[in-house]
Amino acid sequence: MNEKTILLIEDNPSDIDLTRRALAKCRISTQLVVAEDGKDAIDYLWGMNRNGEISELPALTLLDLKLPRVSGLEILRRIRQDARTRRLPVVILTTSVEEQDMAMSYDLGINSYIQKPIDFRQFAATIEQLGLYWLILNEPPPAVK
Amino acid sequence: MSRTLKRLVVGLVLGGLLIYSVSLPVPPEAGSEVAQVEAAPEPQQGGEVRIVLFGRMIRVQLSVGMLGALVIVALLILLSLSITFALIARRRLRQTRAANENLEVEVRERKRAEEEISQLNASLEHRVAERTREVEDAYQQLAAANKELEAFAYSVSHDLRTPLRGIDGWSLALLEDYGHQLDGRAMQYLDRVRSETQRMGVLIEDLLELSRVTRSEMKRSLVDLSSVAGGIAAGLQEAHPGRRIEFNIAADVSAYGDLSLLQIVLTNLLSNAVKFTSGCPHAKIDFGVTQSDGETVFFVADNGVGFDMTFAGMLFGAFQRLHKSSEFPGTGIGLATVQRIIHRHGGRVWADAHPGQGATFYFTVRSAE
Repeated sequence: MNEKTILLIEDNPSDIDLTRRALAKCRISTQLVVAEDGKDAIDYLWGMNRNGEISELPALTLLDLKLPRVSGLEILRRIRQDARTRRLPVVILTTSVEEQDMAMSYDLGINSYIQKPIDFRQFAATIEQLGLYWLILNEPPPAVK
Repeated sequence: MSRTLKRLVVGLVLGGLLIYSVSLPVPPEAGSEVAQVEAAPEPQQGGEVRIVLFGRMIRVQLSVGMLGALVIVALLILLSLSITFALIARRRLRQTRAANENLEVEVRERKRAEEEISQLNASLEHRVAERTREVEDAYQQLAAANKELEAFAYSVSHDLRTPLRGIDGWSLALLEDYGHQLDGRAMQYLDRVRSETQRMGVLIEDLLELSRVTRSEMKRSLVDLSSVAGGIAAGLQEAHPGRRIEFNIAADVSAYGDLSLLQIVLTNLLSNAVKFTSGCPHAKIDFGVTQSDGETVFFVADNGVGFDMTFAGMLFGAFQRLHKSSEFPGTGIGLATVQRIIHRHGGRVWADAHPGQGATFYFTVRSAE
């Protein structure tokens, strides 16, 4: 079976590893691609892979808002502006529940906004639910031709 | 003025009489009832003048020399009159000049006063402009400080919570992956690490809420406090299924304010009441309204542990607690949040309590204009 990809755009190494751990625990068959800042994320989504092809879009993008170089909201804006990437499911996974962040994110067309719980058990449960919902339950968007 | 006029009249009368009496030649039989003047029969070398005054005749012998003298006298009178007139005119001129000078001085003074006033006005305008600039500067600084505060709240929310998730996650990972190698005490220590992490998370959340209630925009409307309190009470009852709590929520209580902020106030006060009645076998919590000195006062009363009023001053300070954490957990931020919200509504909040006899929290909200 073709493994679905989750793109995690997150700069905190501890959070990256905790997400990896949570995904491993819930045994959802997935490949986790990590971009540690906004620039890496842009390179992954719009850059060429080793074979000189544009890489296939992930099934889900987990996006942190506060990132070095290019901010989460800026990446989101680019994703929604580009015809090829505009249907990509994007879930904001962040610690901030500031009203302005949430308003801007929804205005830019996110699919969901999740606050990362401090309690790891809750965090792991959140990641599991996200994986189940977006990779299994949800019908993925048709590719833009 | 009147003196000059009198003099003039007297002079004229005298002069007139003189000229009249020196009428020459005197016509014969030219008499009258009042005065009769007869010419002398020999009027050479002068003449005799007879004057009949009130029936009595006065005879005046006139010679040429006398006549000349009379003319001279008349001329002298005329001269004196003209001198008098000249003197009067000179005096009038002097008076006019003096009056003019006075007027000039007055005009100069007026001008100076006007200049002074316009100078004062100018300096006043300058000062007003300066003050306005100062106020504007202060406002700018305040706005900048507020922005900084927002940025601070943002980074607290984001940056301080992130390591907490790490501490919690990795201590749990240690428990899960290496639990079999640890003894009971080590496991207990790790549990402590995790519970402290949770507490820190709650503290940060409460602090953020405190800052949020100060910054958030107020949307005032008529809020049905009875239904808000009822909803919160139902939620609290559900959260404490093992406890017997009797809520008495007065009907039709409303206030003019921000719905979400007043919700936070009642949530804090009612959950405090639930917390501090935890030792009561039958907890009673009332929400209602009363009138005091024409003012509408809302209250939340409980029959819980209460507190010593000596420490009432500390109640509404952030991180201030009147009970041991082991007895009643909490961050000590709830009542500070309540106070901020009530102050933003132009109201007051205070408490009345006695140890072991429950506590009542009162608050007011400025009514709609």
